[in-house]
Amino acid sequence: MAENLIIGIPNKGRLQKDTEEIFLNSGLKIQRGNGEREYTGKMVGIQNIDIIFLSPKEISYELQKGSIDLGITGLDLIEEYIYEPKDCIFNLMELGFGYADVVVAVPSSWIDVKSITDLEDVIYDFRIKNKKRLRIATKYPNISRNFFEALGYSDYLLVDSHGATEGAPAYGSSEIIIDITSTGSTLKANQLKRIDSGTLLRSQACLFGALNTTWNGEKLSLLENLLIKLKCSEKDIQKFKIILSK
Amino acid sequence: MIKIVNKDPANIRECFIREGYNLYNPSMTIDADIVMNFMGEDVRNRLLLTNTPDGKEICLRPDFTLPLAISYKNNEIHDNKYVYDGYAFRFPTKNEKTRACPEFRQIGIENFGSEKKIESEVEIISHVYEVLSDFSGFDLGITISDVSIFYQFLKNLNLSKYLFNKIIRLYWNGLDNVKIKDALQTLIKSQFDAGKHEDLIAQYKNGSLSSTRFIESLLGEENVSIFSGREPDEIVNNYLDKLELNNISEIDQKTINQISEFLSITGDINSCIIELSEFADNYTLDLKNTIIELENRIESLKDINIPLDIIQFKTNLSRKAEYYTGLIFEINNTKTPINDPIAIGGRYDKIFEELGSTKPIPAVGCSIYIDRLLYSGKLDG
Repeated sequence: MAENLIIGIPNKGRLQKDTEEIFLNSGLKIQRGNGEREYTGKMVGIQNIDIIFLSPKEISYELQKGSIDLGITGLDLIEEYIYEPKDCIFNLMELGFGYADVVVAVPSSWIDVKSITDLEDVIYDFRIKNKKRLRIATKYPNISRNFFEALGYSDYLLVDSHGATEGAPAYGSSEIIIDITSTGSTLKANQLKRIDSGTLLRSQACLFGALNTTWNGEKLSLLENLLIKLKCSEKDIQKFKIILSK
Repeated sequence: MIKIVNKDPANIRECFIREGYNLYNPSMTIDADIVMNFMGEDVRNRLLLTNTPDGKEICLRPDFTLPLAISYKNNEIHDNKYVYDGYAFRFPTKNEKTRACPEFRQIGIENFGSEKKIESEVEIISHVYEVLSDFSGFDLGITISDVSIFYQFLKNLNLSKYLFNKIIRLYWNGLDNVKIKDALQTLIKSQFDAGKHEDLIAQYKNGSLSSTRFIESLLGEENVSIFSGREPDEIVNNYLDKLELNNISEIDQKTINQISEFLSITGDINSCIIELSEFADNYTLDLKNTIIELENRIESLKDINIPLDIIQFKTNLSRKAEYYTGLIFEINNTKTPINDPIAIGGRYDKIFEELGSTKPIPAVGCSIYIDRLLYSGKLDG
């Protein structure tokens, strides 16, 4: 029996709705098994495709392991949770929704900080003056560390934050934050602002292909048909095939 | 002269003990906050971390100097000279060829509290050099530098505190002279765009606006309450300093070239000393005391029979550890050099201050990386 192509789809919220819509616009209808509580589904009219509904974070992990062949999730989650994503995941196409920037945000009161180089001055002065490193609250520790490592800054400390990160400076658990923002209104409401060159990642929902899975001819042709319907560029399909053949 | 009979690294430790160093095995675990405060966030990925039942983060010791210094500061140990031999723990970086596992053996020596600066430094270098060359039979090379020469050089340039700190940071980031030059050139071109607020600035300067009100007026907002540990005065003064910098090109191309030229001084020790003196004369800089100190160090090394032709000097041999205050040195196998030196050491008088000691305590030491020593030995056949 041929192996089915397994696609991981976000299991709730805006991301799920947008994903289903983008498939529907390409003539691909996703059908969930027995209503909202069922975590598997099918693609109407196409044999040999299994849909599995997972949280966006789990989709990242399952793509890495290769227990799903394709998955839709945010680029930010791949960059944060997967070590060396290039080794195990291929970004097939950007889907044009779920936009969010991962940014550094500092108190608006810091009028002397307009850019990331201004921030570096403050980070250094802070350590010299307080004998402590400036704390940055974030739920993206890996993306943050890579960003600052590339800049050569290490005079700071990361503080784990899970939700309501924008409030951290207000209740004193960190001095600044790194978080996702789309409109910036939550930042503003918490007296925070973005700074120049302070964008770590421009994220959106993408369709990813797993490299740690077995791609036989049948699965590949299913994939190709699917990608053509989704209007993925021919160039990217070929690139993916070349990587798989290595 | 020390003689090592067989090739067990434990012999290295025994040699140091015979030289009067006290064997001390510091705690295997250490408060992660202390490590991170010393080494910065980028070391976190390399630490072996865990949590105590009450939620505190601790890690396996990433080196020996830090736990030893903590024990000394806490009066758990009272001698001045220590030797250690054991495993330290850090995940290897991608470039590390000498080991794949997170644990690595280090044997090293420390001298805490000695006011005899040159003497204690030369003693450490010579002990490690002798033990290493006896043990390995390698043709060893020593590269030395001195952080204080760079600081003294910068002081001569009469830069603002802002620029001084900026250049110091570039130096400690371990950038080479070309990259530092690029960074400085970018810096002089950059402008702090503050918008047009001359009226507000005038009002602040004549005292009719408080710093908090100045910030609020500038933002067009009221009740600004989040300053994240900085004083409004400090923020406003820093803001005004940056505006000043826009108007005067304080650091000119000539100075940048000079810094770059200084940091490119490298080579055998005697010609570098001459080069440093000529450099100081050319630009009428006062580097006399630091150069004399360097010469004295070299004289003392010569006196104890360390051949001078194996000593190289390099002005920008900086490490990503700002607690070094003077001498920095590395020892390598010149025939089969590997990426990382076999032994590194130096003076870190700031370490106790950073640990919260009220009085400064001189500290100098050196660590031998046993994995690198043995790996280099294999290459050497």
